[in-house]
Amino acid sequence: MISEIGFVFLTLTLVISSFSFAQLIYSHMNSRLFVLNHLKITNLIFFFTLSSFISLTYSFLTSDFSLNVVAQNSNSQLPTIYKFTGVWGNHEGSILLWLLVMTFFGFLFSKNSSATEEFKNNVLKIQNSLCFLVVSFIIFTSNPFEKSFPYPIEGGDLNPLLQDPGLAIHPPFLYLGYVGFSIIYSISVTALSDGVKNHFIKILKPWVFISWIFLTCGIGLGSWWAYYELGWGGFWFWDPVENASLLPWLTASALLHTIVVADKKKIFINWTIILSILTFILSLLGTFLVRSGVLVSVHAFANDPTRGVYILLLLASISFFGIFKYINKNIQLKRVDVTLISREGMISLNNIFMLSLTFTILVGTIYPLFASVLFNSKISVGAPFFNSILMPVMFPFIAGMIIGPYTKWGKDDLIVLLNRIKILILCFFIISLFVWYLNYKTPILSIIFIALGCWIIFSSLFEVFQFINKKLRVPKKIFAQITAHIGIGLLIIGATGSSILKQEKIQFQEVGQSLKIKNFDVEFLGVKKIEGPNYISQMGVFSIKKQGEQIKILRPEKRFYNAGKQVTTEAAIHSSIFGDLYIAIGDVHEDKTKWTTRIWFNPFTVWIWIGVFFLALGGSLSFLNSLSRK
Amino acid sequence: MKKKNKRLITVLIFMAFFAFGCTILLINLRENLIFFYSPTEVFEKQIETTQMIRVGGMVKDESLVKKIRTIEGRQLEEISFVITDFEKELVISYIGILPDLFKEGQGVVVEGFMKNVGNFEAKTVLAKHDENYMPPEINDIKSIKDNKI
Repeated sequence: MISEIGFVFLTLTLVISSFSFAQLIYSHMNSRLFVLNHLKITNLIFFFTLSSFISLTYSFLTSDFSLNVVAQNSNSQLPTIYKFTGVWGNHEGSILLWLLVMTFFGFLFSKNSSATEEFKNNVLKIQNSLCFLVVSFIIFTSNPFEKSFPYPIEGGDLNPLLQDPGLAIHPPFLYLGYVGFSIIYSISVTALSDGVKNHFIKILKPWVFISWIFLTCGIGLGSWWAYYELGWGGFWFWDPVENASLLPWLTASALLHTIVVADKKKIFINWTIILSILTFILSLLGTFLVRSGVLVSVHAFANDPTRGVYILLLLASISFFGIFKYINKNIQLKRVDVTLISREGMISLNNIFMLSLTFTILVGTIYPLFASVLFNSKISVGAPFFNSILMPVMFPFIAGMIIGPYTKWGKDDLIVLLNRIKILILCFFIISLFVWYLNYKTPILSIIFIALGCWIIFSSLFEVFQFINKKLRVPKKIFAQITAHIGIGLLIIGATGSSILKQEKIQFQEVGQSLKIKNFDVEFLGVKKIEGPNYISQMGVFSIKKQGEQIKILRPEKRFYNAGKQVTTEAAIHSSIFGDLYIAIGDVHEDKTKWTTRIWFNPFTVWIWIGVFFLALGGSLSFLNSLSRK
Repeated sequence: MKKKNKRLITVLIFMAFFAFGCTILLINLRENLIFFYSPTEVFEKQIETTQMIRVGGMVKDESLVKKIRTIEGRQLEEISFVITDFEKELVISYIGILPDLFKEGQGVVVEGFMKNVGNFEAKTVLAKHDENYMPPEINDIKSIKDNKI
């Protein structure tokens, strides 16, 4: 019963949002057939979608197996928390969540914006039309309220890999980021035809920050989940699905920098709009790649090709609409020359690097797709490609990141600039020597990158020092920038440590046998059998000793889930600021005394997560700042 | 006029950089491509033992064998199994922990190098996240399609 109501609400969303869509199409034919209040439509579709989502959630919580999605992705044994997160642990539900977030952003925009009523109305017309496209996709290709006849007594299982708190919150965050770009798209496209001059930048700014923060957290959470759940000891695999989320993140980061210039100097307005549209298109492309299953990905889930075609059509129409609006734009701007050695110039440089990276990763990600269509050859692009491109680009990028914040707006002189930061450059030499002294035995590449990471952190701290030295308070804007840049520095150190410096040992380990890795002694104490709520687990017990003293007991698991008859690996990790000791347990040998164990030492990995936290924190500070200056 | 020249030069420099970047990108791409073959194709084509490739097929029932080997004083488990496209068979050897969703009678994709004819040394056994997922490449192998029905 509840699920029927859910479907009715979803249908109502389709009907009501179609009015906005119809007017969007009609308005291009230059006829004002009807006048609509799109704000009201936005409110209505948000509440209808919310109701629909709540009824689906209710069906999941009460294990209503008359619904196909519930029957396939949930069962009565499942802990309540995973019944709840199971709502978006499948294609249909996750697209409904996507729609919910989209309508929610429209709703927020209608409530809380300094824009004029007319501008709001036009933005929401586009936003509602986007919602219409998504809701039609849901109803026609992936209806979560589809019934199953006859319905089963017990359901299947939520993919055990998804039964994890990290993954439970990862999709909502990622979607808040992805879909947040829809409102940015709507605002930018509206600005193209409304010609509201530069005022729209102020309206746009907070949305850019908030979406970027969520996307950053979403990617960070996903990476964290992959790290401890998959038992591969890595955090990033250059997998197509990971790349797909990185693409809009890169363009959004470029946008983040550009919009500051656009706001302050009233230049790069067109560029801001292009980046906004591009970011949303890349978000959609990401969805297409993940949901259609056209690419070979370790992340791929079973899926249906007709959905891919539909998303591709959506992607094409939304892109064409953006391009069409851009060609027919109604914005007059004066041309301004920008010199390289200036804040504007440095931010342009940042954008060039960000977009080069985006382009490279895009090519690497979709090339296999082209190759299979054009040459009928099955290929994939390996991680070495991405690493070999990323590494050299990092050097000028980091140099720009260090010099950038010290340049002046307008025009600056290189000599004067270098003079200004001469103490900093001296410090860099000392840091580099210090890093080299501490790590001289390790590969040269790791020393370089760790030094570069330290440079960024130090140059950011030096900025703070300069303000304190002049007895000034650090402005909020600068503080946000410093925080985020420190985050990048930490991220580089963490990523270098856990990729280049990683140590791995894989072996048969007998009960009682002790192994040495880094300065730890890992003693295998045995295996216990544990029963969880819906799984049976074989839990290895390892005693971690440092200089003969036990510091921790680690318990990696191999879980066997009853309902789906699937096995998952739960790695056990001992984290410290110097590195993670990471243990995964494999199969038992026939003689029952030896187990395959895989032990890693991943230096500095914890700094990746701290780095992501700093990035999000910096973003949040900018967000609050952009709100308060309105 | 002077300003126009300046802009032209900027654009030209930009284009040159872009072209240079694209060339490097494509060269790099070509070097790092990993080709996918079915077991039959592996036998048909001469594949260098230094070239990393991916091979996919179905894991043959009851072909999984685990042996103990000692390397550098540590005891290791060498796993070997046979993958088939129902025409040719290929023996895969692998040292490591098999992914959780690895099962006999199911599709699998491995990445690594050819050792000699009929023997393949896997560096990675690609994991999948969903039991019902079949890599499209395996789905495309015609003989497997015919046999699955």
